[in-house]
Amino acid sequence: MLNLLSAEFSRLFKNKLFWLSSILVTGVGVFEIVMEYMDGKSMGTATSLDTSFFSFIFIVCGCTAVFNSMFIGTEYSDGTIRNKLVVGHRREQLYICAYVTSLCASTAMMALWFAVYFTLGLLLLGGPVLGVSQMLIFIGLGILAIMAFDALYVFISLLVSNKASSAVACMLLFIGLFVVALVINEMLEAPEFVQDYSITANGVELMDPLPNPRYLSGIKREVYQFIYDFLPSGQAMQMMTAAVLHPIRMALCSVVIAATSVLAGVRLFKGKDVK
Amino acid sequence: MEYCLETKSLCKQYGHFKALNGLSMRVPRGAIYGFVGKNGAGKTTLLRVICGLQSPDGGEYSLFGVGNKSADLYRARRRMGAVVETPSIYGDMTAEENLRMQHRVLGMPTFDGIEELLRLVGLADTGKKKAKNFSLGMRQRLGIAVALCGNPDFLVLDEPVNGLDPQGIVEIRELILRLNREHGITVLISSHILDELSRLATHYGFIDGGFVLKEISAEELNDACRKCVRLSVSDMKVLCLVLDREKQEYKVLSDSEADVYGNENISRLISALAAEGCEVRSIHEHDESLENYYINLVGGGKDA
Repeated sequence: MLNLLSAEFSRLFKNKLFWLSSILVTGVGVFEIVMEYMDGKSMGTATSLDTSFFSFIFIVCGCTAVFNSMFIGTEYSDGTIRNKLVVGHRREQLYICAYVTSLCASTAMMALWFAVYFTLGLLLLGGPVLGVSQMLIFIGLGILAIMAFDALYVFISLLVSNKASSAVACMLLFIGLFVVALVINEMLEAPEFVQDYSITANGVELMDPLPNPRYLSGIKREVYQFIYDFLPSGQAMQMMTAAVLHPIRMALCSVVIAATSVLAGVRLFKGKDVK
Repeated sequence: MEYCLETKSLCKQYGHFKALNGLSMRVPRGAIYGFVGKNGAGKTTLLRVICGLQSPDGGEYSLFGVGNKSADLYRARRRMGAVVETPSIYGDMTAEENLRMQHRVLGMPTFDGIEELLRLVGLADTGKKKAKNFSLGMRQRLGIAVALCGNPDFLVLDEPVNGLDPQGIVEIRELILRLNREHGITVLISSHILDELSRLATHYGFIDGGFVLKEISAEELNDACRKCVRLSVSDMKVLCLVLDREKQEYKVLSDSEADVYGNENISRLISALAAEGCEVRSIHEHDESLENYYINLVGGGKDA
């Protein structure tokens, strides 16, 4: 296992896509800070570090969708996965090793984001509005959500032998999960009542608020809220909008997604015919 | 006799297609085992199975006496190297980097021996050239070098000369012979290029329809392949008459050519033919080739 990890890390550090992704994450971080600073200056509004800080989940997950599928897919396209199996490495070791490498790549990208925000961000935007403990909880949840995303990407990349297909599948998963989260967010954000207006000779008159037909209530709201908490993309949305309602549930959901994906992935990968 | 590989009634099915259908074979230690069969006969499937890339649906196999259901099989695999189908190398790395990667995968404490390995396969002077820019022959040799990391006792090569130019074929052949003779490595080569295989193999296994039809050593094959004399004559009827009179076994190939088996005295035969007014135009000693042997074995009419 350690031999495999050593080989994978040496490959990771030589991988152009990894460095490109890292540069992209850093660049986006700098860009967001500068844009927010300039907006604050021009509008005369106060800025804070945490306004855009948690978008790192979205950025890192987007980059790792491409990175994981290409990095792992190379093992299939170049056929080098065979070199590892032929010399007696167990498939479960290969799987875990791929996941650990993926986590390390994501951690490196996150570290760069944090470095940018805690240096340039603190200088230009000032400190966070959230308290330190809340910041730490959100960061922890963000890391868990990224772990869940990585587990899904590794699952796809190791079970789909075709590099292009796995890259497309990972990107579609990333986009799909965020689209679903956006839709659910919109549904959950719908107000319970909507203001009714009446135009009379005296002008516009406010009427009594009417119940909003799009408002989710009861069990339906609970189910949607659970899905929103369950999906790592939903969790990312909640952190980006600083509206985290169930942090423990979210953490557990990420752990469940990661663990289930890894366990199912190992089981399926063990029975997979490698060509 | 000690065997590097033994399989018993191996089965592997893809959907309704039986790629391996009760395949049994034995690869003796120190041999160059030529695994002969036409496309789709099950050669690559067997190699995938013994390399651990795929699991058999039935039957069993053992590597160095360790069965496929034993927990020690993973350790036994450390003693083998393989190039299955295409060479397994990272295209964006140099030859040396590829070997360093495999050293890491194997957990070898140092990178000693990489230069020697590169020299052995003739890639010592490739410098910083990436493997993706290598010729097919160079890639094949690098694939073999990767398989040789960790000094394996058993090397599995799937169609190693496929697509190579004549120079590349000679280089790979010499490399395999050197590995077997100088380093004592047992080699299992699958191929359908029979002529090439006949220059290398010490043992043969003939596969068709997912099972081994026959296993035979090169010596036994030489004995089995009958020598004959191919005669070209002006009058086939006379030749047949003379040979029938002499009670010689023969086979008419055309109205002017025939193969004569057995230890016929050529001078006497020519004299007898001349006496009957039949002219001998040419005489060639003719060995039955591995190709003929294979065609006869699988029933003919099929390409190897």
